Amino acid sequence: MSDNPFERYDIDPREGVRAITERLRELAEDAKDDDERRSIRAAWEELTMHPARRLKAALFAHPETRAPLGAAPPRAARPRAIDPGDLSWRELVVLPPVEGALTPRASAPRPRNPLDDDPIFGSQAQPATKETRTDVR
Amino acid sequence: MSGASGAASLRAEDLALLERLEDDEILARLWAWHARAPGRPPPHRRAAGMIALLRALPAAARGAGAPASNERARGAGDAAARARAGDVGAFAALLEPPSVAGWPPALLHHAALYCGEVADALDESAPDASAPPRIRSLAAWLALAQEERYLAGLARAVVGDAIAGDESARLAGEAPLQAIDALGARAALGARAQSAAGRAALRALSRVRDACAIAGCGEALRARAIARADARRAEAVEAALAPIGEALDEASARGEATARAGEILGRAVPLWHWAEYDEAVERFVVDRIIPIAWEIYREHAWARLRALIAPFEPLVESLAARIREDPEKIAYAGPCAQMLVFRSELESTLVRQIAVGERAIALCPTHRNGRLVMASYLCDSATRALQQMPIIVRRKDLAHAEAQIARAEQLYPASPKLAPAKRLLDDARRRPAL
Repeated sequence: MSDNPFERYDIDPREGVRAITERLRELAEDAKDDDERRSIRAAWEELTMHPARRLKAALFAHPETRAPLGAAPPRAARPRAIDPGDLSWRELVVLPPVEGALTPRASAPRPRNPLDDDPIFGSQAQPATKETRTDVR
Repeated sequence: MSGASGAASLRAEDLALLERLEDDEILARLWAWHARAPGRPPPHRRAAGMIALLRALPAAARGAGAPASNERARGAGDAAARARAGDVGAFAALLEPPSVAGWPPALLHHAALYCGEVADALDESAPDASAPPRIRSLAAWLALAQEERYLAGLARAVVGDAIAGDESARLAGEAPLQAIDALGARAALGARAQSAAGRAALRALSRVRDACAIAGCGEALRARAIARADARRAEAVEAALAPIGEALDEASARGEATARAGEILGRAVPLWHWAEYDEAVERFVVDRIIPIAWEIYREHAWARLRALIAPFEPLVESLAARIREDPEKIAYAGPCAQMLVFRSELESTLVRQIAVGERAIALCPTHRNGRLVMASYLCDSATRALQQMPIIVRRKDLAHAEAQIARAEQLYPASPKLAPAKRLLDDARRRPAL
């Protein structure tokens, strides 16, 4: 970490006393302990109360010469919020996939018999396996 | 993202961000290459602005026209691409042109700080290599001071009305001299321990003239910088010599000066090597050894006198050479001549005594003791020759003896050896000659 307060606290020397104060106040608010807070206060006093020392520190801190970065790129447009009042009951129905309608008949799945799913009718309709019979005997 | 099509779809802000990230990467690689200290934190990220400024330098300002700088002749863009690929040498060469006179002030400011940070890091990892970046740093500071406007503008922006305009500009203009002062403090700190970092600082102080040449600064600034560096260098060497002087004073107060002088003054020899043969060490030794040598001389303790002065012969020879080259150093001609006279008295043959005595007289023609001793040697030589002459003398030998006696009389007319020598010469003249 640099000994130079302008570099240690990432302050551009050309921004003046107000910017120094604002930046160091932010850092002091976020300080983890009293020691850190004290060193920030010492740096603030060094940079704001002694112009000659501020100048010396500024001379020995790298100047900001990088091109400004500018604005972040605009965000992609978000979908418009849906107004529930615009919906009709048809829009709430889950429709079968279109793919099913396009599938040839031969390979199409057999329509399901609703009774197959019934726990009573489904078991009578289904023949027991050989192993099951052996178990019964 | 693929090159051209990707770049074409980027906004100007995106390109700026991309360049900044590339500059950050090059700075990190450059720092690792220069500092040779993996644990050493890199410079502040604003230092990456230096990379952008170096990339933007026109070829002339990069020193592309200089001979034997093929690296510089290649484009900065090429150097940057190679640096990002891991080959930093070409980009590092951009920081080392023969002159920085045409550089933009902001780049000079970055370079002054960055090269100083490199030198600080090398002081820990490879002290003997830290002088060149230190010179580069000083050169950039001096070029900034020569330009004046940038530092004055920075001072105005930083302190505003808190310091009067002229005073703030003056303070800012002192920055190069502050850098020299800091170097002097570093040298003084390392002087007592004779550390490698201290020696590097001392070396940099002695090369401020090189920094002035790289900076292309005017005569007034050059004179100020050199005077300040010479003063700081002298202070550092004095700091190193102080313990030796104190030990000698203490020994003298206890009446042990002649017994302990060799041991105490002997510490000045490694110091002289550490200080890279500094003249101040030579002067110190000559100043302090002569009174002690006289004490031993008066005791006719020739072996002790030889033991005392022999270790310092290289220092005396070096000082003698300086005096021969620079007539303004005449203040030390006398003491240096006296050291040669002591040595002549310890020589084993008359021929060698005369040879060393001649050097003493040449160094300081008015040196009274040198003239006295030299007259004595010449009389001894003439007397010996005249006493050994056969009945029929050779005119050539007679002429030589006459010349020696005449020179002895010219050097020191009151020499007690003149009269006997002249009597022998008169006797020889009356004899037949061939």
